[in-house]
Amino acid sequence: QTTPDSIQRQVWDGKLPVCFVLPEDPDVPPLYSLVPRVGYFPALLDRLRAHLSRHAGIDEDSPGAQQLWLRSAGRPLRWHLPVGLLYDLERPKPPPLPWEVEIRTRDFPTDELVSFGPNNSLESYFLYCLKEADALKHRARVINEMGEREHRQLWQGLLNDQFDQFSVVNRKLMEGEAKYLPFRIYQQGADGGLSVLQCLAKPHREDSTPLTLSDLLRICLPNFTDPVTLATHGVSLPMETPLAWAYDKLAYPDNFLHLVLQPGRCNSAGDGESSAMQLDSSRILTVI
Amino acid sequence: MGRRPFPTSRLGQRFVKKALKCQPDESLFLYVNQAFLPAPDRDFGGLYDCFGADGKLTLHYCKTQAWG
Repeated sequence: QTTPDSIQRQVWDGKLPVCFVLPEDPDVPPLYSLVPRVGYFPALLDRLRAHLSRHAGIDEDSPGAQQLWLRSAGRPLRWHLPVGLLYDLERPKPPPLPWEVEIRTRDFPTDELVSFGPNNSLESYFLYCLKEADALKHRARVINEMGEREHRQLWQGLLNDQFDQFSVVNRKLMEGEAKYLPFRIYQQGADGGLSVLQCLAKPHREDSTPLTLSDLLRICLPNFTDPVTLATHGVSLPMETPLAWAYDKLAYPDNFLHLVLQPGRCNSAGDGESSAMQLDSSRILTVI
Repeated sequence: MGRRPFPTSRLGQRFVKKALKCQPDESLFLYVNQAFLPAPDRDFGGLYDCFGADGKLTLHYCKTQAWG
């Protein structure tokens, strides 16, 4: 199931080169980092604070360092969302790489950003995502049967980029028949506002055939007629892709399939061989 | 289960805090299905669609972490 070249492994390994800059002090050298797409920016806060302490004379305990936040293209980065999703949401199109992200030490936008303080609150948040996903899939039975040690292992596996450590526990959450599939559809508005859609979707239609992404759009956006594409991890998915297949292969470690809604039609008919079931790992690799 | 603080949730801060007459600096934790805290960008409509029943969305609130 989880061979090194499997799609799940490649999704896990996807990274984005990020260049963190401090606009308020241009003499401070940028910090370059290869950040996992499936990870979270707040996990880097300690590194960013250490960088500022060393190069900008900003003490790690100072209010500026403690109230640190991140901005891209003039907007706060909603850092409770995975890094890759944030990149894929950038409008009008994903920024050139390395992705330049600004570090800010003042005016924390409390109205727009979640504040991840000390005491493992990012870990807490991640676990709540898993609980919600399991509530949809298994009425939270599987995650509640796990002990604290296994919960911890999921987080540590993600934090330390240990796919095997993560997967051995996550497998239990991902296997078996799901009642509803956890997904979210995002649409970034031109005004900077973000729409998030989440509703109930079963793996199968009434006639037991697999529910496709087309079906999903009809459920979530019943009156929507414009041609659109759903993309995840930077890859556009053919609309005939079964949701259950996409979920199994492309869900983030938080156990959600995060889909970005984009205008225009996915050109899945580009070559005769491509179809939903053949969305192979090589195609994902070239995009990631 | 150890106690784990949760980041501020706009959902909790605004409407519900007012309804419960909380002080602005008091923490408020809202739980769905007595199991999880909803993500910060969730709206009540979406939560109801997924977790509501019989025309109601039941949320449990607590000023400290409950189901951590």
